[in-house]
Amino acid sequence: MIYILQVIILGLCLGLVYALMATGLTLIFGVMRIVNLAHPIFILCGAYVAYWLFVLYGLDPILAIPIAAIVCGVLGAIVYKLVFEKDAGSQKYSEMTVLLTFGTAMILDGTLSFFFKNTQRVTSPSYATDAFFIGDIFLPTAQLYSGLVSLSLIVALALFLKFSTLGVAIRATSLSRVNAELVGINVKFVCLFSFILGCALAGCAGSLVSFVFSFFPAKHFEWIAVLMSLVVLGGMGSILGAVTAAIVLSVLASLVGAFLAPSWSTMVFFLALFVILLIRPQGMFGKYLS
Amino acid sequence: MTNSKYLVPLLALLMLTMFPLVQFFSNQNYIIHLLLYAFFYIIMTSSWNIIGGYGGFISIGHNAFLCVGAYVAGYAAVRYGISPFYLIGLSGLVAGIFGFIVGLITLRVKGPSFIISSIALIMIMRIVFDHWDLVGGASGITLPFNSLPVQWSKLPHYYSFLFLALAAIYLNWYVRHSKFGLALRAVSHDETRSAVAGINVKMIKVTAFALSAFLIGSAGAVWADYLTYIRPNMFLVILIAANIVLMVILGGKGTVTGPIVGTVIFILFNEIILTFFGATELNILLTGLLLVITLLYFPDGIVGSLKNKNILPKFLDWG
Amino acid sequence: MNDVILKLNNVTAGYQNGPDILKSVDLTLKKGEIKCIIGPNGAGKSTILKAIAGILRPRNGNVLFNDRDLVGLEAYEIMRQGICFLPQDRALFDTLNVSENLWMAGYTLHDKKELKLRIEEVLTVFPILKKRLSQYAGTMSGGEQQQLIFARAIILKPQIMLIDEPSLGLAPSIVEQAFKHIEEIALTGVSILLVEQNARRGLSSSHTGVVMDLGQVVFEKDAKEVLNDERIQELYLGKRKSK
Ligand SMILES: Nc1ncnc2c1ncn2[C@@H]1O[C@H](COP(=O)(O)OP(=O)(O)O)[C@@H](O)[C@H]1O
Ligand SMILES: [Mg+2]
Repeated sequence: MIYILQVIILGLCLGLVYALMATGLTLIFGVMRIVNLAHPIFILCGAYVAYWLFVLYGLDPILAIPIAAIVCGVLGAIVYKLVFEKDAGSQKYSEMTVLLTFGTAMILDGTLSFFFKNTQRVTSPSYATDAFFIGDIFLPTAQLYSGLVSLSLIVALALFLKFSTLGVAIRATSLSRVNAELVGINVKFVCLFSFILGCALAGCAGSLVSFVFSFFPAKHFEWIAVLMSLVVLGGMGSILGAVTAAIVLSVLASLVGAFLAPSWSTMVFFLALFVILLIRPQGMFGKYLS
Repeated sequence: MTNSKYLVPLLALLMLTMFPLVQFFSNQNYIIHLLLYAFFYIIMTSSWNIIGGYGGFISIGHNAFLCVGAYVAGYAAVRYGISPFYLIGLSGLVAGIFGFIVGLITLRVKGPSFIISSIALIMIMRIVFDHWDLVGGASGITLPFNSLPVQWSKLPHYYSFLFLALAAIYLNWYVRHSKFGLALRAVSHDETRSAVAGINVKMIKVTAFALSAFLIGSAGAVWADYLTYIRPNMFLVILIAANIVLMVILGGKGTVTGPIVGTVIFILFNEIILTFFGATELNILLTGLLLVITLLYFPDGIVGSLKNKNILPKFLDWG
Repeated sequence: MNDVILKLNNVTAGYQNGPDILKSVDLTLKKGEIKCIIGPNGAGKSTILKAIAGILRPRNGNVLFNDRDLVGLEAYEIMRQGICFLPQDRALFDTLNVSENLWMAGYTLHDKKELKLRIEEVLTVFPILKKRLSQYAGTMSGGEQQQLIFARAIILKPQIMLIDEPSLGLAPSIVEQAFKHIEEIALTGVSILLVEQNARRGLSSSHTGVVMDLGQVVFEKDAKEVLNDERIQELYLGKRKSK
């Protein structure tokens, strides 16, 4: 019983990290209608930033979050300018945009592989091997910290979207570009801002991931499928939906991992995606950035 | 000069059929390898084009069917000692049925959701095959070698792939010019209107999907024999699917000759890169770069762009 | 009352690569004037409004607002100049609540205190909204949505309002209410360019009437004269039923 509880809590912590990974993606989809298959590679970029800052300067990966966010944000801005700006003003979704993001992911993947090879890496701050005990429940510090930091970042994002003018403008734009223009919102700016914000969030998630999972350049392909399943499950563009999906599935996945075999655990995400496509193709939750 | 429309392809076919004769004089196995590799990818790109080009369903997971085909043949070869060449049809059939079932589920959604589901398909299969002891799990299956002298050892694959490639191209041409293809393109434009016009939308989509799975699965049997060993991580990686998509887009999706042109050019491009840079990680970078540049500047691909400008050579203009 | 605030010169416009929908349209709007555009379906009435608002970029001609050419500006820039567009499909943000909708209507107002004051002010004009502040706009009744639309429109104190089919899909009493708002808004000095399917109703609240057909202005007169013109009655208003 204690064991189950512990597995659930671990799943919850990981779920919060996945949720953070998915929020940036959802934000970008909500505003720009772009399924950004390059999102996971941005997360990896953030992880590499945190890793090297730790290895070279001993900087704690949690403190590296702002730097990783800035690096990924700048990278996002460059990618946006070069690749997506042309389509940003158009209302029409096109499959080609997805392939564009896929091509971008391959470019970044190749670049990372060129520099860092296929070596598995993991950041190892002092707390990475520590653990808390609450009664008989054993809680690795790394998981706990990453979960808590993710949670606070998600809450901060939610508050920003709920209470700031720009945040509400982002939600308004995600509901309708034309209507947003009609109240004087500069939609192209909102798109750029959301894209950068999404990439910066990927960077934050990357810092946290760097001491929770070991990573290497091709890792992002696995995350593509996991994160995409969260976004589809959450109803394409609903942040609350994606976060809920992340937490529920991650808990399920860690139960599967504990009782079946760890290598089966990601299966939960993919199967859930197929089940949803079967019974409710429009996803579990409502629409857009709510 | 309407004759050139038939003349060039027929000449090309004749030359390709006769080419292995050079083996009598000198061993050109590498060129044979490149050619059969091109045929192999033409089978996949042309098949992909049926559902991706005409149907508008972009799949980044079509290698799933290659995997099914290869494993059916590989398993039967090892377990019952049947040559994979006799199993081409069976492999195709199993892959086709598998495609039909997958299509029933994933073709219910369009656009981004479909693309995502196609990626998830590979991930699921990867986990399943990695754990499936019957087919060797992650370490896969080793097939028996064929006993031909080295000079002739590639020829069975060469001619099988050539034949299958012709079949795939013909199927593309057929789909482009038949009522079935018309319905398929109508569905890709607007499902609701097509349904109102009396088209059985679901069957059309799923049939097209299964057809393309069938051809790719057939190729999988030959490919398994060619490789002589098969492992999940050789088939179930996104890069293969990415190459297929890139080749079709490069050549021009939704055209009969686009997949052929795209495949040939991409394989040449790859060869050049390999000669100059060797097999490095730059390969994936350049593939991505090529994809992005094509999408941004020539979204209609080579054949499509030439056609728009009315300067497409006759022999490439098959609709 | 006689100074021209908006002037369309020779405006030609169409969608994407399609044919010209507007063909050399000239039109003027004076300060405080309500002008009603009528005409058969597909005449290009909505297209004129979209061309002014910048949602559709004219292919030719110019749109002068206080003598400044708007052609080439993005829609949001045009809105920031003091033009407000109420499109046919309402343009509310369905899953934002009423207060967020009002907030967004004043998006371009950088003085937050001023915005707060203006929202207060608008809520006294439309008291129903006050009780609905935290309700999603999309879940309100047609009449309430109508009020929210006008409330949003006047927050920025625009000089010109472009209104497309205010009566579409509304119950008769709510249509009456809408036209009452329109007349009141015009009295504050706002110029209004109105498109209305219900031509009689639209004209009777307007100062001038414009008849459009096939992308051209065929007729422009005092609203009363348009209403009483026999030819127009026959062609565009439908025959009056005998009492
Ligand atoms: N978004 C659009 N894309 C292409 N054509 C359009 C679009 N909107 C309207 N049209 C065409 O423009 C013409 C005029 O439409 P509109 O201005 O909406 O007419 P109305 O006078 O009924 O408001 C019609 O023939 C219509 O088919
Ligand atoms: Mg209209």
